[in-house]
Amino acid sequence: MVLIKAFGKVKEEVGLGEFRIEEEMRNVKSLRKYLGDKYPTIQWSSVAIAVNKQYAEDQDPLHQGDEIALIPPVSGG
Amino acid sequence: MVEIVEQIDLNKVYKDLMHPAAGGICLFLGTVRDNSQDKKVTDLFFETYDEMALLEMEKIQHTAIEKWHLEKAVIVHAVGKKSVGEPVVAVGVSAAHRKEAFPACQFLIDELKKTVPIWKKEYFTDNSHWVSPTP
Repeated sequence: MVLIKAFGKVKEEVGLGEFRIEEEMRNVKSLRKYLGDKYPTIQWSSVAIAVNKQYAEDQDPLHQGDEIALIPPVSGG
Repeated sequence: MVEIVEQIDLNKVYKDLMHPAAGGICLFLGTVRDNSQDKKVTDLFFETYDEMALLEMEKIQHTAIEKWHLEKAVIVHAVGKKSVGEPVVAVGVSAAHRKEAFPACQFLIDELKKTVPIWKKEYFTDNSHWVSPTP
C-alpha cells in the first residue's frame, strides 16, 4: 500500500488531494501504468512523480508505506 | 533561510541576509502582476507540497552558496491567495561583491521556477486556470 498525494491540476482532475493504492506496485513505471489506466484523461507525460519527497524515475522501486506525489508542471514564483 | 509563509516579511528577509563579511545584498521580489496573456488578473492562488518544496529550496540555496561563495542565501515563498501587487516570492543573497550577488540571485529564482513543487492558479474576472510554465 502506498499513499498518493496529488497537487494542482492533477488534484482537481482526480478529485482528491490524497488517496491510497492497495495494489502492489513494483516500481514507478508500474504506478504510471496503473494511473494511466485509472485516469486516462490526465496527460501523464507532463506529470513528475516523487517518492518520499524526491523526484523519481521509472525504474525506481516502490515499497510498502512510500509517500508518492503526483507533480504537474511546477509554476512557483 | 528557506520558508513557505502566508505573508512575506521583508524585514525578516533583510535581517537574515545581513552579514558583516557582505559588501552587498541582492534581492529579487516577485509580485502579482495584473495581467497575463492579455487578460486582466485579479488574484493568484499558490499551492505547495510543503515538505518537498522546502527540501528543493534547500538544495538550490546550498548550490548557490557554494558556487558563488555567498555569505547568505534566502528563499521565501508565499502560499494561499494573493492580490495584485502583493509579494509572492522573495529570493536574496549577501556576498562580498555585487559580481557574485547578481547572478546568484537570478539563479535562485530561475531554479525555483524549474524544480520546486509549487503551483500557481491565475484568477481572471471570468474564470481561472492552473498555470503551465512556458518552455
